[in-house]
Amino acid sequence: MKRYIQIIVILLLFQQCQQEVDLNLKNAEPQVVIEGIITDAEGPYTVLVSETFNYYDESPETGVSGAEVSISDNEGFSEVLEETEKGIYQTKDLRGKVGNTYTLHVRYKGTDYESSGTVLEPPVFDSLTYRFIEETPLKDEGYYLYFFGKTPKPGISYYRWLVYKNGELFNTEPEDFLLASDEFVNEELDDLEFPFAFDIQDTLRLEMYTLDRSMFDYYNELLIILFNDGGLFSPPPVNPVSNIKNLTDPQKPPLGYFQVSPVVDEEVIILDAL
Amino acid sequence: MKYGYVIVTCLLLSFQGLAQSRHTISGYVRDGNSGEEMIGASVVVSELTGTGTITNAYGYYSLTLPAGSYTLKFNFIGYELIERQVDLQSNIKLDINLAEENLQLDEIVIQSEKPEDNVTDVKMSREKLQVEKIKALPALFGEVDLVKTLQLLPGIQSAGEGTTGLFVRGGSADQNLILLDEATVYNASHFLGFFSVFNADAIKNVEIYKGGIPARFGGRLSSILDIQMKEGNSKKFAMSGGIGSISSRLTLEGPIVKDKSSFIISGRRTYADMFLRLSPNEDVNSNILYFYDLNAKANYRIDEKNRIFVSGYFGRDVFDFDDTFGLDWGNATVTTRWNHLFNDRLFLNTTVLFSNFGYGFDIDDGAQNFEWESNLQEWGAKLDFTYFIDPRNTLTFGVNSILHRFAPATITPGDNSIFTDFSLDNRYALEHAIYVGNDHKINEKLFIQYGLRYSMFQNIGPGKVFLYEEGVPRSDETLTDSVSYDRLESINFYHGLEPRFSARYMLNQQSSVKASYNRMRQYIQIASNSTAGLPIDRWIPVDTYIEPLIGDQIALGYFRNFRENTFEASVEVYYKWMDNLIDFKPAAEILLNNNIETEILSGKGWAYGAEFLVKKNVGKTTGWLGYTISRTERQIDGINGGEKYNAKYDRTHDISLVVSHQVSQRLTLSANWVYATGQAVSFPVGRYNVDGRSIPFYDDLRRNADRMPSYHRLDLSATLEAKNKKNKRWQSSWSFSIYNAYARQNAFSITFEDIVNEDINYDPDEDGPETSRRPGSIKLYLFSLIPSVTYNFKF
Repeated sequence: MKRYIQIIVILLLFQQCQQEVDLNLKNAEPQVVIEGIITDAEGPYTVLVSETFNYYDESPETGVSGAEVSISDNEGFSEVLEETEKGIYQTKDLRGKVGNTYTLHVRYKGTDYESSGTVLEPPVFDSLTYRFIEETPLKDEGYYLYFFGKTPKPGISYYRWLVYKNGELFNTEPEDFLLASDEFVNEELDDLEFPFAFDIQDTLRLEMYTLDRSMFDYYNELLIILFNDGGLFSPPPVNPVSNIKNLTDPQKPPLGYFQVSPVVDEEVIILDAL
Repeated sequence: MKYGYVIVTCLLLSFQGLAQSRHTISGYVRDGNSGEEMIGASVVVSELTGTGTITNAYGYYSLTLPAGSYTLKFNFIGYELIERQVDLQSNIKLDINLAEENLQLDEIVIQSEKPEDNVTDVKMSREKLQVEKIKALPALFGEVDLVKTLQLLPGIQSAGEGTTGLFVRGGSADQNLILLDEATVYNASHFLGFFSVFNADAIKNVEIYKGGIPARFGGRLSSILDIQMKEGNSKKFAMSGGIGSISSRLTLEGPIVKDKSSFIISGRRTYADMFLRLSPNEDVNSNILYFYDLNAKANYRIDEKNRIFVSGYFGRDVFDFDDTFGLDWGNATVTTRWNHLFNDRLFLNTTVLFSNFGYGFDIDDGAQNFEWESNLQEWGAKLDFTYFIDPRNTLTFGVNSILHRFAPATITPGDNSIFTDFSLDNRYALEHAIYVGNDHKINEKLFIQYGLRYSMFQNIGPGKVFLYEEGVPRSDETLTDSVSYDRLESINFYHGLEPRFSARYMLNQQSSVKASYNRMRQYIQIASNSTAGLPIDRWIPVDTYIEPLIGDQIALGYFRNFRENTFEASVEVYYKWMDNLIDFKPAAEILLNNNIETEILSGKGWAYGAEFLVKKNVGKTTGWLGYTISRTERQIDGINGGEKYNAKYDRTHDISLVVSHQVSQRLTLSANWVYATGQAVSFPVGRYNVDGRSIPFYDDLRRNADRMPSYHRLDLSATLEAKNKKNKRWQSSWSFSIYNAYARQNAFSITFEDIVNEDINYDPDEDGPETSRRPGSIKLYLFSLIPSVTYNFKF
């Protein structure tokens, strides 16, 4: 719905113009950023530890060395992650399992951070198909993907989709972020259209993650930041609330997230014949 | 010597009062041309210094004086003064028709009595706009806009470029009670706020109360915007209209039964979509985008003592995009009034009213299709009495009741939709108030107005209240149970007293000091975490978890007129405390949430400032210069670490200059210039990488600590009357307007995003592969210079 409102705003403000401005921004002390994902797909899983930097700095080095990163599960397994590159910490043996709970522990500069999450039931993904759509004012011409599946009811489930085109992540721009809650949809999800136009011969792979409420809220808040207009039509910007806790100083949670979720995927190659 | 005279006069009056019988002179003051009743016209008794009254909202006045011969002066700004000799030996009815001043170019305008209201009236923090004067001012796209003109007054601000939301003395946009013929208008904006819903052709009177609010008004914290529609010409049939750059207007008015009954009907519609349709580009021409307004009013004088009025407003915005997405919203109000005179001194107005605000969406995009409806309705009844006790006391009292119905959202899926049926629970509430107030002239120097309002609000069934675990923040996870209530069953009850007080003390003939205090209670508000109002506003009532907003304001003012009242000047300082303000958690779900209490944070607010105003109302050059220095702060637990922060619409400095000059009988030139400190915003204090992207980093303890660039703009306009022959009925004029004459690129918003390939409008589909990416800050500005032309006619 937000997207439609943006369209109206743009149409109404047909005279609107944009211009780059240089602002004298304040610079905060570097803050710790932790980002980790565990799924039920094969590892290795990666945890990134980095720091914030000045807003206008171009491509700074953000990863930090020397963090002690470990992941344990509720079955008693525990693994210390190895730093493969600066700021990149990887697992070796860990394999996510549906129903298991995983706990991330990071110790950096004397501060302990912790987060845990459970791998929920994987989403029910029946099939993926595509159809050709002619150009309309709202849509480009091309082949569109359609999703068929189910979402468990009652209760609310949260999903995120990543679309890979010819092996490369395709929906990278903020406006292409696919995040949904099933609160207002039926159990049967038939013919759910993905809003991207593809060409013949494209090889497409769809990954679908089931998120818990805290990760859904995190991504939602992240999107609000990415689309923030400064507060006129959007809420005042605040950092997304991390699901990682600071054990040493609870008032100073880190930035970032620890996502524990099941994933299913499906691949399709667009052929003229269908 | 002078004081002695006053004392002697007072004594004489008292003795006369005791010795002689008293009689009442009363009647209506009307515009001689159209028969419209004049609101706030002054009636002064020449023989008794400081004795007089003003006409009420229906043009009625009443004066009870000792028997004797008097000279009464009837006056209204822009009209010729009328003097009448009366020999008051019994009760007298005297209706007066005032004639508009006919300003001849070479004549020096002399008024035998200048309007010294600014100094002598008890009212402060109050502004009245003359619709005819507003029409000469520059306007965006040539659309005369009452609300935007109000924003040019001290203490009244806008949310941003071109928006019609009012922010009065640190209050938010939903803290203004907007009354159109006494019915509440819930959303006063068209086109997402670029235009207001009030068609100036149908409006007679606009008055805004920023403070010192009389007891008869209540229900909002910051201000009352009281707008009255015209009643229609009761003498002759007239038609007027205009053809503008984006809309056309037509008004018909006339007598139904001459001097007894009249009507007015006025419409406006935009035609932006007609231009869209002409476009060869299919992306553009398949869209529908328009709004319209319709105002209608009729009145009938049954006899000298009874009169009825029926008025209505209906307006809607319609937007449709390629048959895929539609959005429409609008207000409707209906007011029925009956004026009744029990006797010469007791006036009763009975009102029955209805107001509706609603919006709807429909989306039809394959399996993603649904309709979404939302609306808000109120039914109300009011009794308002005015009792003209004597020339020193005018008592007002009354009661009112409103039934509110909130239907926040109903979603209906279409065929083969993935969406499910969904609707939020309707909510019902009753709001009542009783009040009494008195305008009391204690002596020539001291005039006080005091009153008390007792307001009540009751949530009633059918309804449901959710219960949560004690001692932990309310959330979906801590929800334990819910309690259901039957139809009309009381769920929750809030009530409280609202004292009101104003005083004026004359320092001398030219200057006075005034003071006021008022407490306001507000029981319904908009649930929103953004500043500018969207048409998809959700109004929520107070309930078990949300407490009424309470506002207290004190204001002090010094008022002085110069050069025989040619210039009016005033300085006012105010301080305002606001309690139980609400805000929302960052990613709050507001529109589709049945237990919105889980998303709410509440706290306090303060606003204080000084407002300076110099006005010139008479002569060939008129206008005003206003300056406000102010501060607005909030403190809400869970925001900014619980510390005080600037409200978004906190403006340190705000200047507006409005000048109109009548060059010749045919040509009027006008200009306005505004300057305002930039809005308080939060800019990032860094950046970090997460999810493969670069995210601005904010300091959550520096909410609204930065400022947008300051805003300033000059608008110009010229109104040229065609060579209208005096005896011809057809009269016409051209209005030329330039908005933002020096084309300043005022920032509407600043966004923080990546700039790809050094092109802020980079589009991966058209501009080739990405070669560079860096963080940037991008300013959006809406309007550079916008010229417009409007042709107006009447006959």
